[in-house]
Amino acid sequence: MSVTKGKNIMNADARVFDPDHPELSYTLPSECYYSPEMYKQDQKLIFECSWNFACHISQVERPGQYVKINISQEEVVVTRDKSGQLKGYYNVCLHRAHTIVQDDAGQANFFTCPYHAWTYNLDGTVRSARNCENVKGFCKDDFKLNEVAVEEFAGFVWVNLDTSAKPLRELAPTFERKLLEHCPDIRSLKFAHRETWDMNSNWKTAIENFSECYHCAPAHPGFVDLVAMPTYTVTTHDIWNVHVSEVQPNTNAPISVSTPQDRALEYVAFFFWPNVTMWIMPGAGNIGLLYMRPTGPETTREYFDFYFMSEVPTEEEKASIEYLRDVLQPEDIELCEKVQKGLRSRSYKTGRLFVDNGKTGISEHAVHHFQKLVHEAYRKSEEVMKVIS
Amino acid sequence: MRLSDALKSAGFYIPASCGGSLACSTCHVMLDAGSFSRTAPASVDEEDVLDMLPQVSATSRLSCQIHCDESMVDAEVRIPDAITNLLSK
Repeated sequence: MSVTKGKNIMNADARVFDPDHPELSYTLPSECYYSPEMYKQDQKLIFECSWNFACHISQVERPGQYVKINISQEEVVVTRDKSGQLKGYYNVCLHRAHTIVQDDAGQANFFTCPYHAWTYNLDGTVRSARNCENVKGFCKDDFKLNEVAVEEFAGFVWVNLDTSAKPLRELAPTFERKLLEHCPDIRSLKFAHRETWDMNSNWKTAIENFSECYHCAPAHPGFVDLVAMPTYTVTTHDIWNVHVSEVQPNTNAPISVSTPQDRALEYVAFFFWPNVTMWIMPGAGNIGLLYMRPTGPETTREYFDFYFMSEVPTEEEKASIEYLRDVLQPEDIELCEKVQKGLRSRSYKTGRLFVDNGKTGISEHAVHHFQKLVHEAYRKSEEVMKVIS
Repeated sequence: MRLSDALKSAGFYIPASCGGSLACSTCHVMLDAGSFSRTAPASVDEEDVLDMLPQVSATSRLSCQIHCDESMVDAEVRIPDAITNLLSK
């Protein structure tokens, strides 16, 4: 028997993540999924310098419409000013640091800090600061709200705390075209419904669970009756991946679906770096964004925002929401929480990724792809690389 | 004297929490048509506040923005049933 020596064999012996050889790679070390230090690094190296999903363009269409989101330890308010320009601000009053906007979304002509009643115009300038005329040397112009980078891309609004970040069109040049191919109505959709869950798992565990359908047959009996698994494909691209499958409605399927004649009868799901998944179910124009916001090393808040052609879902759309809310999501959350428990075990450090030769619908190549993006982010820190190598 | 101060002095409940900085709307009043037409028109910033109120009328004003002089002697001022405080939103 001959033994081939080289990098691949070394990696197999070492059981480490191999960014260049998905077919031989192990997972990232389990410590990345529970260590408080790694949680801080995820915030610093990933969320504080990536484009974070904020909302659909329809949610900040008019001047003064706003949404508030959390990124890392920060709160950010996204709005449109009176000239129609999209703006994003740190939600911190520049007087004594009270948060300014309290609601998650709304409509305002200006923003008021509830602490001392400073008000800010939609363009971030100070509108009024009570008693300022009696304060020596105070100049309103010195206190414009601090801005973050904001971008409209693929029908959605994205925020980056790093104002020097490359635009999404450069980072994901083919994404919008692919999304429009499967969801041509994306810009016309309306926000219809939100579900939230607090789960006891690291955010990466949840993304990785989404990224493969190897677990679908054993863990999601309803889902595998809905999709035609032999047609299920997963393809990876720069900072996103896409799952596409034909749908074959049958008596065992958890929801019935009808599709306009000009649409394929298909299920499509995208992952978009770092924490967004997009689900397009068969039927009229629709998309659901399931995104994971880390709240701790082993806790994550999941949001599922549903967008349809109307703000009021049809009966079929309601059935789809109920299936995702009551069946599929609870199944996935239980899986993630049990994986999280296992990741904590002293017996587990890394696991073998199952990337098959044909990169089939049950292959884990998109898990490797996601971990490679995480690995690339970690490479910015020598300290982190010591942990994972 | 501002109308909000005059109303307070007369014993009416006018919080005017933001001290005239056009932030809270707790001094919102409705004037009679004659008094409304005699007062200087609302600024854009005041209009922005009034736009955000649920109980607004054609003669709504923020009383902290109205100078109270002899022309207001016969004014009829109605205080809304419910006070909206934009600071607590």
